[in-house]
Amino acid sequence: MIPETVRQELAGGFAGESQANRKYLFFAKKAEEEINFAPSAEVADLLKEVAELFRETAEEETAHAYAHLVAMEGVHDTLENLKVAFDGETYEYTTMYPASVQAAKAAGREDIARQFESTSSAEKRHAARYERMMQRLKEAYARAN
Amino acid sequence: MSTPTEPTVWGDLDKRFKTDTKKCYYCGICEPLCPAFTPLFKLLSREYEEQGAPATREEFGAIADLCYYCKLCLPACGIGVNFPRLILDYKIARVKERGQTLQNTLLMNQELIGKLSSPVAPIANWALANGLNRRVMEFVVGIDHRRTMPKIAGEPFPRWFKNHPPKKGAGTRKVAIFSGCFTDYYDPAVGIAAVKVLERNGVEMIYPQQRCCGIPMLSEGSLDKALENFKANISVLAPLAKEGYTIVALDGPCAMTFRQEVPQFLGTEDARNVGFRVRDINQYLSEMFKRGELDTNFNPVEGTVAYHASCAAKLQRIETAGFDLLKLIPGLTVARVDKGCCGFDGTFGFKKQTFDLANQVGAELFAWVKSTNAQEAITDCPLCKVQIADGAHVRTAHPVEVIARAYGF
Ligand code: SF4
Ligand code: SF4
Ligand SMILES: [Fe+2]
Ligand SMILES: [Fe+2]
Repeated sequence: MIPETVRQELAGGFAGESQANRKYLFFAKKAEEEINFAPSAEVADLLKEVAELFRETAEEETAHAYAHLVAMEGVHDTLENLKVAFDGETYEYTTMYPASVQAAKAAGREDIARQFESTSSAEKRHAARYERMMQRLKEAYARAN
Repeated sequence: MSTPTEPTVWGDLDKRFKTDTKKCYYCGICEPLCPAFTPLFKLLSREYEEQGAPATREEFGAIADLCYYCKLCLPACGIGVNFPRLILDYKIARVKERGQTLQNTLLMNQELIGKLSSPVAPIANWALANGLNRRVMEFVVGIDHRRTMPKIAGEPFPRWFKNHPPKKGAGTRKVAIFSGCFTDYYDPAVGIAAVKVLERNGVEMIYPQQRCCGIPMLSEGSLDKALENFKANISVLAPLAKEGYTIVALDGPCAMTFRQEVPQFLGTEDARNVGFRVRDINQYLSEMFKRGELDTNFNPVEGTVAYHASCAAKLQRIETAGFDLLKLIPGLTVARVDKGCCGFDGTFGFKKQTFDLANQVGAELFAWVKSTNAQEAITDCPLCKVQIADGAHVRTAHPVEVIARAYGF
C-alpha cells in the first residue's frame, strides 16, 4: 500500500513528466520545421541538434513517467488496462469534451469548439476500439481455459 | 490485376495510405481544416467500425481530389503524419500511370498562357469575359463560368523591368527579384510596386531569367514538369545565392516552394543554399525594418483594410509580416484575420467540380472581410486575391502596393 500523500506526489510527477515528454517532442518538431525556413546552413544544422536534444530528453522523461506510474500502481493486467482505457475514453467523449465544446462556444471560439468536437468523436472511436478488443481478449482467455 | 508498370508507379503507396489514414481516422484533429477529412473518415468507417472491405485505391483517389494542397494539416499534426505529401504522391503516381487531365494541364500552365496571350491581351481578355466563351470553356476544360478570370496584362512585368532604368543602390544589399508567373503576366502592378518600394530603400535589383516556381505543376501531380522548372530556376539562382544575392519572391507561394519543396524534391546542395537565400517580400521588408533600415516616412493613408495571410505565409511562419508593415502607415486601420484557407488553392477555385466547395471553404473568410467594412482586402498571394475579390466583393491588393501608395508612388 502506498500512503495517500506519496500517491499524490507520484500522480503529480507522472502528470508533469508525461507533459514534459509531449512538450519536448512538439518542441523538437517545431525546431525541425524551422530547418525548412532557416536563413543559413549554420542555423539549420544547429536547429537539427536542438531537435535531437529535445527528442533525447523527451525519452528520458518517458522513463521517469513510467517509473512513477508503476510505483503508484497505475499499470495493471491487460484486461484491466483495457477497461481503464475504455472508461477514460468514454468519460472524455460523454462528459469532458461536451463541456469543453460548450465553454469554447460560450467564449465565441467556434474554431476551438470544432477542435474539441473532432477530438471528441475520435475518442468515441477509441472507446469502441478498446471495447471490441476487450471482448476479443476475454473470449480468447475463456477458450484457453 | 497488376500491370507490369504498377510496382514502380505505386510503390508502397497503398500501404502508406492505409497506415497514415488509419492514424487520421483515430485522431480526427484535422477534420475541420478542409473538405477532405470528413469523407475520408466516412469511407474508413466501413472497415474500422463495420469490419467491411478496406478502402480501394480508386476510393482514395476521390479523397485525393478533395485535397487542394494548402498543407495546413502538416504543421497541425503532432505525430508526424505528412498527409499533404501522401496525397501528392498519390497524384504523382496517378499522373504517371494515366497522364495528366486536360483541365489540369491548362490550369497549371498559367505562365505559358500568359506568355502567349499578352501580345493579344485585349482580345484574350475579351474572350475570357465573354459569356458564350465561358460556357464553352466550362464544357471543354471545366473552368467554372462564374469565376472572374484574371486579366492578362498588356505589358508583362519582365518587359517592364527591362525597360525600367536601373537605380544604383545606396546600400550593400543586392536583391534578385523572383516575381512569379502571376505577377509577370496577370498582375504586373505588384512587381512594379515592389521595385519602387525596394528602390526607395536603396536596394539594388536584378531580374534573373526565371520560370514559374513549379508549384502549380507539383500540386497537380505533374512531377516531371515541376522538376524541370525547379532545376531551371536553381541553375540560375544558385550562382546568385553564392554571390550574396537575396532572392526576394513577391508571392508567398513561390517563396514557400523555394524554401520547402525544391530542396526536398531536388535534394541538392544548390537547392538548399537557394532556399536559405529566398525571402518573401513582406519578410524581407520587415527584416529591414527590424534592422532600422526601412524608410518609414509614409504619407497618411485614411481607411480600413482587411489583412489575410496566405497558407504559404502561414507555413513559413511569416503570417504577420505584411500586417506588421501595414501597421506602420499612419491613418490606416488594419484588421487582421485568422480564418484559415481562402479555398482557391491553385486550381481548386477554377474547376467547375470544386468551385462551390472552394467558396464554402472561403465563406468564413468572406464574411469576416465584409464585417470589417474594409475598402480593400490585402494578401500576399495572387490567388487569394482572386478568391476574396469574387467572394467578398472588395478590391484587393498586395501589401507592397499599399506601401508604395503610402510612399506616394
Ligand atoms: S494529419 Fe495528423 S493531426 Fe491530422 S488527422 Fe491525421 S493524424 Fe491527426
Ligand atoms: S493539404 Fe490542405 S486540403 Fe489537403 S488534406 Fe491537408 S488541409 Fe486538407
Ligand atoms: Fe524528468
Ligand atoms: Fe483517446
